[in-house]
Amino acid sequence: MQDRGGLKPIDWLVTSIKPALSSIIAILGSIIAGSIVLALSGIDPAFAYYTIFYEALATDFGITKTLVEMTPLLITAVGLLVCFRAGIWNIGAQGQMLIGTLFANVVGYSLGPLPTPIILPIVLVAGAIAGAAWALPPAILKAKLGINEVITTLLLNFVAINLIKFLIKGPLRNVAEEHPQTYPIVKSAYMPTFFGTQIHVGILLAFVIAAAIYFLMVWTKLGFQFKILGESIKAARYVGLPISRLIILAFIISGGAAGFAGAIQLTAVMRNVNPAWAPGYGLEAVPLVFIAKMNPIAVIPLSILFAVFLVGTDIMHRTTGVPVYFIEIFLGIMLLLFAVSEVVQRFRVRKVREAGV
Amino acid sequence: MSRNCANMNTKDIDKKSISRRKFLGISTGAAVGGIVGGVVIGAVGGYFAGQSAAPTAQPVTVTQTQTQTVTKTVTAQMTGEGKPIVGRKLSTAVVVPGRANDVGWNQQGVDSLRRAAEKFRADFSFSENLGYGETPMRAVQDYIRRGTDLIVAHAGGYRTGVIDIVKGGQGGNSKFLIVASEVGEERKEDLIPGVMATYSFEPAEAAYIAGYLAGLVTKSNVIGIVQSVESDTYWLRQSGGFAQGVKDSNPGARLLFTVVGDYEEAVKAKEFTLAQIDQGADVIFGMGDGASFGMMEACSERGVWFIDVIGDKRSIDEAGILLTSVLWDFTPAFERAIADIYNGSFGEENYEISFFNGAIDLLQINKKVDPDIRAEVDEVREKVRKGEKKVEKVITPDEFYNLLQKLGFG
Repeated sequence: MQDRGGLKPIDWLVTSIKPALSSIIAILGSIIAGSIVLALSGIDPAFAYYTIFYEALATDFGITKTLVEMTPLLITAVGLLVCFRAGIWNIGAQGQMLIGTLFANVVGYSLGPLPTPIILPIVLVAGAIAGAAWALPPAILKAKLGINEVITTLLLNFVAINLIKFLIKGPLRNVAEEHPQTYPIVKSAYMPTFFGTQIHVGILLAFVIAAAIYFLMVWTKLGFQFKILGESIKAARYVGLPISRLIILAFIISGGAAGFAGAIQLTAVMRNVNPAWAPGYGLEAVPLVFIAKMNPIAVIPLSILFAVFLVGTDIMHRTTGVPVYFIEIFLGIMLLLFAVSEVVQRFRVRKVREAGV
Repeated sequence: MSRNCANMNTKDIDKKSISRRKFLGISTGAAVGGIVGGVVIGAVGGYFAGQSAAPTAQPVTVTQTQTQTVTKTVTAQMTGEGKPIVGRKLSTAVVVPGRANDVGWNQQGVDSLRRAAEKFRADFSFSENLGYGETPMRAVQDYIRRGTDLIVAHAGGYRTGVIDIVKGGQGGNSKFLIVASEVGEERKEDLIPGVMATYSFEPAEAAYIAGYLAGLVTKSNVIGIVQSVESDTYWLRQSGGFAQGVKDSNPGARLLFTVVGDYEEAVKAKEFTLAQIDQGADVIFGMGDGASFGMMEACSERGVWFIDVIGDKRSIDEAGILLTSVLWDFTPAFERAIADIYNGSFGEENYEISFFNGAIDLLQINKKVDPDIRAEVDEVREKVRKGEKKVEKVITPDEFYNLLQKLGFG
């Protein structure tokens, strides 16, 4: 504070608020752009924004749904963070979540009525294992043959989407239902909730996982190894790190997290899987990790913010009659501006003396 | 923690020191760029949002009517008794998986409830494009929270979620209308008096009349059926009815049958439809959801007749190839549900819509069709209505293929 590096107060102020600038620009930009869409749709923007934040943050229903919506987003994002930190671009979280959820579903209705403390962890772990298993082929291809993981993980998403469609319409179909879907999990595998609300134990698990990933990345040798690998694969090789093992492990952690997040959604919210279920969490989590500068703790408020927009805009659609297209445009613009505003952070202000002055 | 983070990100950044002027220039540029970009994207988006929202342009009102006691005399015409019922104003809502302007299943669901609500002067609201999974159930719970009297979950895939909410005791004071489950001969009613009722559909008769029409208008004597999903029992009922209609009006015609494999695969559906047209088909009966658009496009490109199901696609029929549609109107089911809420008998029966209660019938036949043909179709319609012509029902793929064999189309 005392030493301002010879900067004038205005320069110092600009430097100080710089870290927040990108977020401010992103939020303001999306609000302005969103206002225009709203105004063109014939809806008062101020009322619409009031509705978003009021409904998502000031009502019991909104708070509950925001937390519920945040949970899979947060878990998937912190899982991806491990991969991204290690310089591995796993964009297959969507497929890993789908496969994890479906497997958890099968386990959840096949095991029969076991007590909740036994069956629930089994179902959740089954989801994580299946998610991790779905991440293994690209992991091995990357680790052993150096095949670009962006391509393999992206394409495996499509394989997963179509595989679950095939399985749910075929061998796993609930024959008692007209519309193709799986059998629901047994009641004892339902995620417990608090005090009769819909706030479930999985929300706590999400925070625990975020904290665990933070601990892993900041305080453990493994986390440090991931970071070295992410910074420079040559340096990692030079210091003798087990690169293949690290790559596979990073994939397992992120795939497992995605599968686990899906299993939580299954046990807490969905109960069974529909072939048309298309969770956006796997893709929405990717920009969150970058905006959070790959910091697991920073992912928490960002996941909450994103969930606020998801839930708030959804309720706004119902209360104000705003077309659902607006919501998609709005969320898209917000992410876009978050990405664009990153540019601002790349520069540092310093005083430049003109030559000869 | 922030230290770690900062280290990583400032590593290269520190080298890029720039002047304040440049920084402010770039910041302003970024902000102006963001705003201009936002304005352009917003304007384009808003234009399309405004356009696509046209069918839903009516003001949607959601008001807390629980506490309002509006005494209105509502004549429950659907009960057939014309008995006046005195009650408070109801609120209704429908949740749909797709767009409310899809000229198909979703739009019919939304528009039908809107009409039913208007008739009973009930409040109406809808939530569209919810897909499947947690989002539609969040919408249902939101309506429960608002004290909505009647919530229609307009998708077979919403059954499990709604039943779970109701049986989990989280249904509040709302009443729920869900699609009836029907697989094979078995129908699970899921009726809970005062809480939950089901609605179902019987489109075979109307599809029979469509088939009869197709048999009359074909010139090549080749007619195609394109079905998005093989096992869909409602598609099979229509395909079965259609095949019988073709046989009765044009016994010498050839009937082609293709399955796309997915409700939404418009591109694949178009290819499959083109393949049928290449085999000589000049009338296509298409059942798809999203896939229907591909089927219709193929017909538009080649200038052959297209017969649609559920919705009214005349607004997008630029080529004028829409022959007719087996139109599903859910209004009678929804009206009966609202009437039963007033009567106190909601949840005691399944509400079926069919040709016989006027809810499933042919859309007005394309005006290019010869008036004699239209008159003949009207005669057949009357025969079916009077029960002089019975339409055989098929529900499973095996039953359908057996029927085709029996009719000589195998």
